[in-house]
Amino acid sequence: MSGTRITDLVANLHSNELTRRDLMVKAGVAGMSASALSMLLTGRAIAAPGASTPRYLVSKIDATTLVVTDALSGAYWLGLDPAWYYEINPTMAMFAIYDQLYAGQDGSNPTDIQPLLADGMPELSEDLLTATIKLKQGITFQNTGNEMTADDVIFSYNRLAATYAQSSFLATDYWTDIQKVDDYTIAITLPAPNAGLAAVLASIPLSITDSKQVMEFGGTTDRPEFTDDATDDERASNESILANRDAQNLINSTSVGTGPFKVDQWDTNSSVILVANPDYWGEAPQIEQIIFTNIIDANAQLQAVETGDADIAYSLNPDSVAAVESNPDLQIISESSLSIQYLAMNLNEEFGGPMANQLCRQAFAYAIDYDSIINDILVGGAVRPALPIPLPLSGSEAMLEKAYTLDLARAQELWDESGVGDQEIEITYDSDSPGEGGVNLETLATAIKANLEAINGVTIRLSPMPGNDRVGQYRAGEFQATISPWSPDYPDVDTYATPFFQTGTAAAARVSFSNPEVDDLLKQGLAETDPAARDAIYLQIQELVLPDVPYIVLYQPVYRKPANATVAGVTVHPIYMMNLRGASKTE
Amino acid sequence: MGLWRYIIVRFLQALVVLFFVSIATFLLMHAVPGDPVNSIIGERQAERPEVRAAIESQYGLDKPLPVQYAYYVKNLLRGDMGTTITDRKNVLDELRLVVPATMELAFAAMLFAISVGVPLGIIAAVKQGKWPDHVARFVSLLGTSMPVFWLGLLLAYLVTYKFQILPRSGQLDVGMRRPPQVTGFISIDALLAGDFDTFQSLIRHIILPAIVLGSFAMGIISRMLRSSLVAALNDDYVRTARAKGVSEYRVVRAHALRNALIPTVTVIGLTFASLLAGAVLTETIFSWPGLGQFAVRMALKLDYPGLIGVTLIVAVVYTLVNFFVDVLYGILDPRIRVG
Repeated sequence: MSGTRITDLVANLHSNELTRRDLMVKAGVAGMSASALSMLLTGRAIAAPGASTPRYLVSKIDATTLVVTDALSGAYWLGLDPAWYYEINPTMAMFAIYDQLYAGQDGSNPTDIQPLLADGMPELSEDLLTATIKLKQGITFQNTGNEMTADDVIFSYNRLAATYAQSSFLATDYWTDIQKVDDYTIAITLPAPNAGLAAVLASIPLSITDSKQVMEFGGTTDRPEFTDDATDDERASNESILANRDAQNLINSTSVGTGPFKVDQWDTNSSVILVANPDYWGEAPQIEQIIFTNIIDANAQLQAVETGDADIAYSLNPDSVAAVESNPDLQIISESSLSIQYLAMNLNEEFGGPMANQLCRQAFAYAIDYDSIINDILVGGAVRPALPIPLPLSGSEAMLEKAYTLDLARAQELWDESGVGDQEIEITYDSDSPGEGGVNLETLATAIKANLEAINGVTIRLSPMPGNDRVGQYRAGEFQATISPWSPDYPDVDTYATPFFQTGTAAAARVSFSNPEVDDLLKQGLAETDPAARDAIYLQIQELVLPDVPYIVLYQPVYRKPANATVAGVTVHPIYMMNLRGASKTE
Repeated sequence: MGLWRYIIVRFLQALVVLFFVSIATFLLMHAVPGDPVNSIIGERQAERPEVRAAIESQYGLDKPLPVQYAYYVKNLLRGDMGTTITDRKNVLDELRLVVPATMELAFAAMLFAISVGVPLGIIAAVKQGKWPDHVARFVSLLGTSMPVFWLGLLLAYLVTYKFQILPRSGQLDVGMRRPPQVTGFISIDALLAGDFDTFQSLIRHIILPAIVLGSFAMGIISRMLRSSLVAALNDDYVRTARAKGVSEYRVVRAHALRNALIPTVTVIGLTFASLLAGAVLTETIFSWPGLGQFAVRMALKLDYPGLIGVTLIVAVVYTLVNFFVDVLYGILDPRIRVG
């Protein structure tokens, strides 16, 4: 007990055995002696050797291990089971563990979809309603050595439908039936011609899993009915969902895929570890393991890369970009994203008020200083498409010259012309998470408020809300204006065009946007297999929507990841976040 | 016999408290506007009634509130605290990880607070009004008034980044595995497994967050102890002891300090309980995967099962700590036992 030691010293002082100066020195030492253990350890820590590894670490990080740091223990890393998967950050792990039938591996050209587990592109029937897909043969699963067959593909897709998870629409909306032709061939029946089918099949939730092992884990394709005409018994029969949920916990730590890496440890409180799959059917990985380590704060993540605790950080504050660029030991790996941050305005007069007036929405679109948002808030790390069709998807590039730009005089004119007079508009945004590209939403919202209030007659009331509540209000269509993000489900223009422009769908339903002509064109666009003709259709759609401005796209960020200069072969990817399959490290 | 009866009564009282805490939490959470389904239904399917129905059925959210509560209590009695809605994890398993993590941190923080705060308080009292007193006052005021996030970032910058003395983030080195889970406390589990590298790594990782988390308590303890010790040193019995010729060391240690410690023990107990529930900032700065972070995450998503779990745990901790403080009183001052 250090208290005793101190009192000893005090007693010595009183009996004149100690000077006051000595007392202070020795008391300091005694105070620390309670943590003598830690001092001892610290001493050993300094003595610990290590070239690139920080000296305070007990274990060493060598060139066969890639360390990626991210906020694992936040709400971003929920699981590694494709049938429940709908997160963003862990996609970098998912794409290392799982193969899909198709993939667009090149982050700079993600719409270039190539076969992965499939043997060739889908073969379409004459009426374009049946797609036949052949599978590569002789591919085995990571942990069991079972060979992958058509049964595994069908099981994986049907199990996704059975979970009713966030991503289950990928297994229910794009086909009406899926059949095994032979062990290495499947036939998919489509409800309507779909030029983007291969891109849909490239999405992570449609990864191919080992059906035998998943069934051993309790996984099932039984799908209870919850439609309006389902009986109470059917509604109550949720055992299959619960069984799939339990299977997920096992799949998190024992991966059931065919990819180049497999899960060795699943612990989002400290680290998620992947090890190389020695039997991988494709190009063998160049590193032995990938460790995802948990650091919550973006600045702490960067610090970890600087000290050598990590090789790559998932997050980078826009403010830190210059510091990383000027550091010769570091590099920034970057690629344009396919994500957007946008301002949605409600066309329904009951909630939107003046926002239901097209002239007011146009006035807003002319009043925002987009260049300042991109240059000052994102430090140049963003672009801006005219509408929620990110660059370089169909028609987005041709639309660039038509995009609204800052023109305050025009904004004022439009506002006055609308005749709505003085108005207060409420803009909601998430108070508990950053925006796309790591942007502080309060900063963004404040900038927009200042821009819009430059219009005479406009007062903006900013309402930060917990994300859960804001999204609830937005989805119910009970909002005036809101700042919201969107990220792609798969690399095809349809993952934006349908939810944003089709009557009654997702975002379009929320803002009450509806244009029958656009609805028709969307159907045509989905069916068109000729790329040039398809681009023309989507360009026409965007031209039709533009004057209505139901959404103002604020920016489309460039994903930037700080990494040590020793890292090679890692590319940033708009869907996978990072493609780690080819990662390597030099000493 | 009296002591045992006292313990049993206190235990029953605690059960009643926990029952009401669970009901209050349950009702409060359902009174808060917002719907946990929002965070898991997904952008593309939010408008689909069958998907909403599937989710509600999975978590029993489609049942009337009293039925939901009855189910919850029934499962709780079987040791099942349910599954979190947002990340589909077993609440009890999660608590088994995050509660020990926070307790380890809180213990280390208390160790720091006591080992610095108590000597500081004694020096300040013994040297009352002289310069050691002023220095002690300065240090303890620094401890109580420095915001946690500022002290945390400062230490992280200096100790980890600048001088590379101690690591900053997490509980263990990169890629180091948790020892086999016995108690959930990494330190204890590592020692049980004879894994000294892991133990050593944990100790290195815990020092910085413990200092940051404990600095407030350190300041409080030293100020508290100083004032009660000053009062005690001026008391009649101390004068009597001095008059009897008892050595100053014995006067301070055996006579004054023992009495002066009683209020300090209360503060230590209550501070410890608050450290368990209030380490959110420290946990975030140092990526310490503890209860605070878990609680915030659950609260933001209105994750009922997770939130009730957290509330119950915190209620249990407060009840237990208060109980131990009462017992400690009895040991420090036998008169209280009689009362």
